[in-house]
Amino acid sequence: MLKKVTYVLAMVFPTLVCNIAFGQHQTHEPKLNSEFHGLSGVTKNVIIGYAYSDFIISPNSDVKTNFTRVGFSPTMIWQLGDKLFFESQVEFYTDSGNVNTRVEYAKLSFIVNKYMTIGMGKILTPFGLYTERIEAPFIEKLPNAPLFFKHYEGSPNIGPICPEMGLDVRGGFQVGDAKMNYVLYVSNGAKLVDGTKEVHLAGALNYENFFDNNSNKAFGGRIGYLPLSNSTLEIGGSWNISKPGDVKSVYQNLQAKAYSFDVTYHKTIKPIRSMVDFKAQVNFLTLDKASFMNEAGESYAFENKSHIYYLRFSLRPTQLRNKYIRRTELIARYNAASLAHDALWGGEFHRIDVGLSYWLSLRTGLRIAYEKGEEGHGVKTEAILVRFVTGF
Amino acid sequence: MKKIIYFLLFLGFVGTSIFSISSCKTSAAVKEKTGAVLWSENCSRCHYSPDPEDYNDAQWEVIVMHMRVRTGLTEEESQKITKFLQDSN
Repeated sequence: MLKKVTYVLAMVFPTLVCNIAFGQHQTHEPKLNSEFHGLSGVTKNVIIGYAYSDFIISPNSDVKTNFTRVGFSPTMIWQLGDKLFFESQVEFYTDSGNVNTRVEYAKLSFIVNKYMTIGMGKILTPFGLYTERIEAPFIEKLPNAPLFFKHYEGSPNIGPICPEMGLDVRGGFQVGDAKMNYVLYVSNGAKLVDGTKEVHLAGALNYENFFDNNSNKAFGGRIGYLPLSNSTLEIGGSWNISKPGDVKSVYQNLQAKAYSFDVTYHKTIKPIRSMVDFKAQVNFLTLDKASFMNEAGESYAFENKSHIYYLRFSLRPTQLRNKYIRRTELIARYNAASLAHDALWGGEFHRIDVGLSYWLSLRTGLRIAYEKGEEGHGVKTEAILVRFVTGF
Repeated sequence: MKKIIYFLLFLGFVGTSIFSISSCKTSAAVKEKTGAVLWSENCSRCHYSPDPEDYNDAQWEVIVMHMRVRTGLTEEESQKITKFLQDSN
């Protein structure tokens, strides 16, 4: 615990000192002679968000067609001064006939200076790019998420792929003609599923740990680098270190280490009159070896190492004359997962998604995709997905 | 083998970062980028940009502040983008 706090302080303190010292030199003089400058003023607010509706055709299922889900997700942002703002996204959706409501994230942020903002609350964990920037249905160009990159109940998390309770420090700055952005954060971290209730998930991690199961805090971050002056390319590296075991349990000293690398590239290529967009991310997760009990009450241990990745490519002929073709975007994605082989939830997974998004406007699209894959123990999956989505 | 690849990737990342930081001077072409250019370059990294007319001046100020923090835009970029959107709506 003390060691981790020392690491956190060792990273955060110099960052704070450097940012404040350098930032104060660069920050503009306050317009008003007020000790509360930036913290009060005319309150401005806006509601943005998205709504979507899903339909699925499953040829191998007993129920071949199904209107599965509809969701509405407003994000409310209040600017409480020049430097202080609060944002929260609430999600309402129906799934399998049930109406669900949840706070996707809620964070109060304070802009310390031009290089640093501090935020605290329920944060979208900046682990890779997907969770924080791509996951929203009006941004994600396919009707489904990459394999294991979205949190579902009963599914292992390979790295922090869902929001967490915590505090983050972040910012962006010019480095010559290139740019860099950074995020450092402390959060509750993952919770280990010890198999007491969900035997088949023993040894898996769940990062939806909103009321911490121990005093150890996770420490993580992401560094993003945009080497080209036109911001078309971004490469990033992320990490997250946590102790996920319940306090006073035999698992309390186990350590989980997660790493991620991501890349995104988008550019309009004139010879083919199209905009191309490439995105990829790989997550690695390692948890110290431990023993768990199976359904027969027998003890077993396994190497708890997993990784997941996806590669997505899309092409939209934005510069053709025909407006119907101009609005059409073709997308292909390859997803793969290699989960701890000897775990009850382990195995090799892969899936291919090919789709088409027809953009009715800049923020409204009709998306159709065909997905075909294979799950852990040779189970083949196949479906056609349709999503009608709008951002507002 | 994997560890060597990771190490080389990390080394490449650090190397290019140090190279960039050591040549920190921003070119005139980058400094003179307009709000419209920055809006086009940065928003489309993740999504298609909404029409400037979709929101009023105050709303754009809030939205760009939100995007600045979310995506690591620099202060200069967010100021230019906000002004462009407010001038264009």
